[in-house]
Amino acid sequence: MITLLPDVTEKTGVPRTLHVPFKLGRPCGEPFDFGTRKKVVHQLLELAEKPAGSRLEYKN
Amino acid sequence: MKNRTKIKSKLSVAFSKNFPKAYNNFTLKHVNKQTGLPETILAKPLSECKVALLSTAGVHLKTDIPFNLDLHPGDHTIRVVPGDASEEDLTVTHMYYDLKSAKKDTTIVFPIQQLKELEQAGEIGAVSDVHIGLFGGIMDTEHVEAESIPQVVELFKNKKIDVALLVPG
Repeated sequence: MITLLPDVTEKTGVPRTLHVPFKLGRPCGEPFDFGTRKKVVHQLLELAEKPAGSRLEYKN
Repeated sequence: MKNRTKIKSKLSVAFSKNFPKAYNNFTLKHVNKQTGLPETILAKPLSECKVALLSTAGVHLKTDIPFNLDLHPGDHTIRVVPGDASEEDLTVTHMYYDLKSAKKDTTIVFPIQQLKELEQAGEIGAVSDVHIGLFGGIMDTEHVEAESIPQVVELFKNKKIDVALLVPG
């Protein structure tokens, strides 16, 4: 799961989270910034391969 | 949308924009701590996995009935988004974040195009032919947990989804 509020998602018990540094309402970056979008999706999929409990920070 | 809902929406969006720390604390206070959830493990390589999106940003087809923002404690019904939907087919209905950016480019809350590119590149096995849109602004999650989530789980099991990517609003 992408998270904008990591403390909140931690409490919900989501097994894997990718903390992104974007604004609320823009979890995959700014409109038409498809480069960032691709990085977010890539990093989310990398996260899916990691053990439950993994918490990653988005890397630009 | 009723005037009361419009005012509530404007106040909420202004609160989260101007006081992000207080907004975080407010949200944290209204989330129940979950423990003892089952372990989930990816059983095969990504290149063989079917991947679905689940968004709580209020994503739905333009032809669908929008989420009812006037309902209390929030519209918990689900919207199914077909895998062949394009950005032009989609819109968002929500009240707790500024919708301007998501309405300009829905991929910021629903990156289906990027998933399709990864499928074409062979990095994932397939993009699911169904995805889910939910309205995440629900303070009391009783109906979500009892009705909406079991529906989603059953649908994803029937469709043999291996990976669900959750995207908030």
